[in-house]
Amino acid sequence: MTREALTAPRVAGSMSPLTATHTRSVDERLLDRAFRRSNALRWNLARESFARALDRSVSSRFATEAGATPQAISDYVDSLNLEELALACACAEGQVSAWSFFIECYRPGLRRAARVITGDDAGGELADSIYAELYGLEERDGCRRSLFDYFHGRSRLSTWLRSILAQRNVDRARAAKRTRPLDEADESVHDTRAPRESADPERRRFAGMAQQALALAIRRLAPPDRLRLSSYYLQHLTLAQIGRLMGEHEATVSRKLDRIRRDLRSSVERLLRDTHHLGDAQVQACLDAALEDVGLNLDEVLDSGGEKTGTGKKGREDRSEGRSAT
Amino acid sequence: MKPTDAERGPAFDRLIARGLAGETGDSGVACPDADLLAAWFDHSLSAAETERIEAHVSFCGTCQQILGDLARSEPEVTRAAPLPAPARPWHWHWRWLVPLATAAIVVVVAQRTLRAPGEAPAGAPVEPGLAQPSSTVAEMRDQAAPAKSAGEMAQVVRPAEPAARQTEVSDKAAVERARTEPKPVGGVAGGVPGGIVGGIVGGVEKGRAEVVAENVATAAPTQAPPMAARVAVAPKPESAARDAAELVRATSGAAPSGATGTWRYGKNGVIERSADGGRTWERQRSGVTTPLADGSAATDLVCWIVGASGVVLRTTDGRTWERLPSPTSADLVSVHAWSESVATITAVDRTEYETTNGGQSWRRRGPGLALLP
Repeated sequence: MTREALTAPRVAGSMSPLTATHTRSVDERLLDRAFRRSNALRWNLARESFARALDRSVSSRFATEAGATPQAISDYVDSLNLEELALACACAEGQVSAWSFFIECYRPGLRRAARVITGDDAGGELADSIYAELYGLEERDGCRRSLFDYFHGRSRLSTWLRSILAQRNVDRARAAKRTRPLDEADESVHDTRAPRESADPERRRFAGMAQQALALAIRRLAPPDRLRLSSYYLQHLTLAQIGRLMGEHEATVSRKLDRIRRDLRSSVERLLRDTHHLGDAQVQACLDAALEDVGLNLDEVLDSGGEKTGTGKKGREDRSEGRSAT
Repeated sequence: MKPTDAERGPAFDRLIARGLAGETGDSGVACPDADLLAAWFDHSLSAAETERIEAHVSFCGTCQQILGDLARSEPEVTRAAPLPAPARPWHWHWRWLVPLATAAIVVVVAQRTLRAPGEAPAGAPVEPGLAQPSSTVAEMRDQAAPAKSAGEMAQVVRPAEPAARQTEVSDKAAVERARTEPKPVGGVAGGVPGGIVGGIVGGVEKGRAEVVAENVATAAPTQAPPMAARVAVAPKPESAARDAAELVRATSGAAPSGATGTWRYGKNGVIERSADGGRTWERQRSGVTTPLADGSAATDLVCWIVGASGVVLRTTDGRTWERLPSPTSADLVSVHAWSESVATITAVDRTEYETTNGGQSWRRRGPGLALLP
């Protein structure tokens, strides 16, 4: 029997687990099937608890879509990582066996990931810091709230945990940045944004035109292409890592990066011709001026950007694959 | 100063990086939560959601950093360069087979065609007091002396001379005999079953023989198993040497004890483990002969290896391997192991399966494959 479908709006990123009295979005048959597949009894997880977790997940997925059909809900539930959802649910309830399993299976990976993310020995500290949240030491409205409540089974539990770690690391970096002395911060901004002045005003104008055209060309890129470029040039990921990110082989990534670079260059040249009515020689002069400009000061810019993203030169050097995009 | 052509490529890269840095920052819109970013990373969102997330992330520096961290912290299987093929002793190099086979043929032809009248047929016992071979024949045999040993080698596979079979077969006549003559029961060289001897001869190379022999030895460390079992363990001879050369390596990245267990595995079911960083290798019994494609070590004792036809192998003590129930009969191409209970495998069609109970049950991963090219 299908109960009322949940369409209550829920802002992405907010955390509002449904209460036990909330109407259920998953019909009994679907719930039975999901409960069996989840192997939840392994953790002595009550069916009602699992149903609440499933409701939260469905609610999160269809919050912004009015009138989700039962078939869409069924397909969604079938696509979930139900076993890990049950594990997270059992951990949130404080089941000892579930916690033992979690500690045994996920803790090593969590610490390893935290070390990679922080890039130093503070990784273990970062990993351990989320255990209190996972257990739910903090109480809200008289109820213990566990971070596990916000795992909806849409990804692997390990990926979700690493995502939490990465967010915490960003928060930590921001907090550290806020406490940095003002003059130091100002100096950093100055280094990043203010290129050295060229003696030739015409050259400066040409460089500015090329940079504007490039910025526009970058904005016009398709989001996946922009993401590929950012992953490569700003995050300094390897081709294999970008491939993992985009769901494609690293050879495909390399080929696409090559193509995007070529497209960008022709877009910039076209924009300079069309917008500023420049001839071939002037377009080339614009590019030369911009290239000369970055040749002068981009090392500092990139170092600042690398510091901003927590990778810097080290990340660039770590890329073992051939850089076909050059 | 204008940049040169050689400088333009890298300089344009820098220009792109600068442009990207300028276009990327706080988007001003609420970022997707950890759950959505993780689901995007695992390619398990719907197409519309994927598009929405990518539109945001491609401009958002914070989300890019989180996704970058996710990509960097994804466990990887360390792969070593392919190992060199096993060294072959000089006397088994194939080039020696040509003169040896030629010499053997010359001896056989000489025995049959230049036999003196009244001489006993070749191979028949020569009784004392019977006529000795003519000087012509004797001279020819003397001239063919270097080939005599080859002729003797060609005889080693004959059933009437089991002791001589301890040496490898090495000429075409012997090959033919090995194929046509009845196989002796248990008549093996170095423990290799007679049914496999033909295979080794077909493969010719010593290195292959070693692989077969080692496999059989691994399969029967103390007591010879039934013939069928031994044959099942042996690899196909024509691919054995190549397979041994295509070993790859799975190294545990998070050994709780601090030690590092390293396994390597080949395409014929060969699995070896090193506990000393690769200096020495110990052959382990895999129980399969199918090609093994990928491995992932969760700890220094726990390793998962997958291969063709849905083969999933796991060791939890670093020594013994068990074949686990597989969710598919398709060839498996990769595995990520998190522990002895949790692992993800990927089939050749990019379907992913995940287990959290040591392979007792598998769950097919959600959609997202459509995103792949």
